[in-house]
Amino acid sequence: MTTAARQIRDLSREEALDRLGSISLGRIVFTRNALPEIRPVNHLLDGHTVIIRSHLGAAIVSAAAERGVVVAYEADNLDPVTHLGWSVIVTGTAYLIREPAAIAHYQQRLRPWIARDMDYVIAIGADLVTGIELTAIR
Amino acid sequence: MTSRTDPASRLTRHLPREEALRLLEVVRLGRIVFVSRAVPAIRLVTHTLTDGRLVIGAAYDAELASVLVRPGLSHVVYQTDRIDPATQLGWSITLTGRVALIQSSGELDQLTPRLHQWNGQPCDLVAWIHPELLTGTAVEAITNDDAAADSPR
Repeated sequence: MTTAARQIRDLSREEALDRLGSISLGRIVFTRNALPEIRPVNHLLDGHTVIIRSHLGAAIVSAAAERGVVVAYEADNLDPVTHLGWSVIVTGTAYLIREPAAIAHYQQRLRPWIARDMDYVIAIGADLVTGIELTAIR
Repeated sequence: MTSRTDPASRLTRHLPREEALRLLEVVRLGRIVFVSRAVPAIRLVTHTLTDGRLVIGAAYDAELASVLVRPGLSHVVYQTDRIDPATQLGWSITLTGRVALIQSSGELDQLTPRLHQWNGQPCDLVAWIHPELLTGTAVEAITNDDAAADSPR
């Protein structure tokens, strides 16, 4: 693999959110007992809010339910061989969606990567958005 | 016939440690996850597997560097996956372990050529992660053979 003929560009907030909204799979990063955890999940973008469905267990859900909890969310579309593509990281406060109509709405539009019984809908505010894009130089 | 994305046509299974280690050798790109100033953080890095230990390489990053040089060994999580965006079939592996920055020039000379940074930048930070906990999940399509198999899963 040659890594020379490529350029890295920072994505603007809008560009990064556009790319995030163009795919459905990402990874949520959260802390449990002061240790980091990560899980692949499906997402959708509603305005500037990342919506995920999750069975992440009591830790993140209870923390998100009370007063929100800071999480990171990463999604990328990188070629496995050339590694060209983009990566976006959102850091923001996650909170549990409680309104039944909103839950039903999102559950219809989002399918979980792994089907489980315990299913919550979590919203992540895009407080901090960073993204980079790697393109080949021709 | 059901769609491949229909949950009824998919099988989720845990990956045994040996299979997870084998898959870690197939890919070079992963994500190191750590806690920085009480906030979860994630960075895309490259990896290689050597003698049952994972070696990661990353461009210099102040937050990541502070985790790697912390006195005592920090616990980090490393994750990599290959999931088809269209069918959502694929696998994800998560490894938890203590991380240690490699500073010996002998080891660096040996390991750095094996690390190809995904963004083409040099690997300024090279670290071991000693895998203490390795878990993996695969989501696979159920084939007719699986459906006809006698042994239940």
